[in-house]
Amino acid sequence: MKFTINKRGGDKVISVYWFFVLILIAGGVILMVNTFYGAPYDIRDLEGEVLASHVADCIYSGGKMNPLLVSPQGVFKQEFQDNFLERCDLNFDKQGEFEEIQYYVKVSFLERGEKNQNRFVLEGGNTNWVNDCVIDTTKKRFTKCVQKEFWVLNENDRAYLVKIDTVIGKVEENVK
Amino acid sequence: MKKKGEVLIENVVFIILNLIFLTILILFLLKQGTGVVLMERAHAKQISLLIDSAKPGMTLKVNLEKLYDISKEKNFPFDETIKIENNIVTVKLDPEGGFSYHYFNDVIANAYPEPDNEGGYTGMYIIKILKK
Repeated sequence: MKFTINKRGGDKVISVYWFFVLILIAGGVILMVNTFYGAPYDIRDLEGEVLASHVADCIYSGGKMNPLLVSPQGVFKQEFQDNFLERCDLNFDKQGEFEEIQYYVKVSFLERGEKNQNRFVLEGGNTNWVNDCVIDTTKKRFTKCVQKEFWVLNENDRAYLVKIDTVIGKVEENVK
Repeated sequence: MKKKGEVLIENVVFIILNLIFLTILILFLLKQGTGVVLMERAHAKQISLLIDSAKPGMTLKVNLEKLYDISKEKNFPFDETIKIENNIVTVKLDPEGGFSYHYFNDVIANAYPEPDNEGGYTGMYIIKILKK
């Protein structure tokens, strides 16, 4: 006795499985695409860099320190410290909305040889964000911190190491 | 001879269905990439970064042709697409939507669409940065 197998029926069964696989693939692709495009762009690193550059330009520009910041004798001016945000054209407030400030910036001036002692400090914004930058980097943190440092010379050829720390919050707009 | 014809029709139908599936998938991918929400968010952030980097006296010209096309499709006036007030950039492509982003640079930014010679717009936006 010879048995003949009708392969036609078998092909149709395989086709059903094939479309099931296609549906699985489509579902996977849709999920991946929605995850990718659903996540907002996080521009806070860039924003922190821009903020640090803005402050750096305010403090030191054209090879000279801002005369409103330091006198020709090398004395830092308290008035600049008190009005730091205004002097450097920084507006951290969202007018008309009772929300916490989403920025923090700190500028430290250290003299050569004085590694840990700040000669002068400028600060502005939400000081609550400061501790987030100290947290172990392996842990997730909600703020983005940027640090920049450079050397400047005042008119008396005194060198200062300027450290600029910027912190950007804005978690809702940048993190899902 | 009959079997060949049946097999061929099945294969053709199978291939056509696969092509339809791939086409739908590709269209879906393309639509996601040019979504209204994505465009609003991306452009609001880009413009606020531009303003943060700018100095008083500068004039910025931003290419927003993609937004112009979308605003035409949705019948939303292009001159209301970008609003900059109180240090907040708002990009809107429909009346119920919109995304706002705050910028820290303490300047006044005036934004308006560049007109063309035919009474419409070129798709570019001019942003003038002024001192407060």
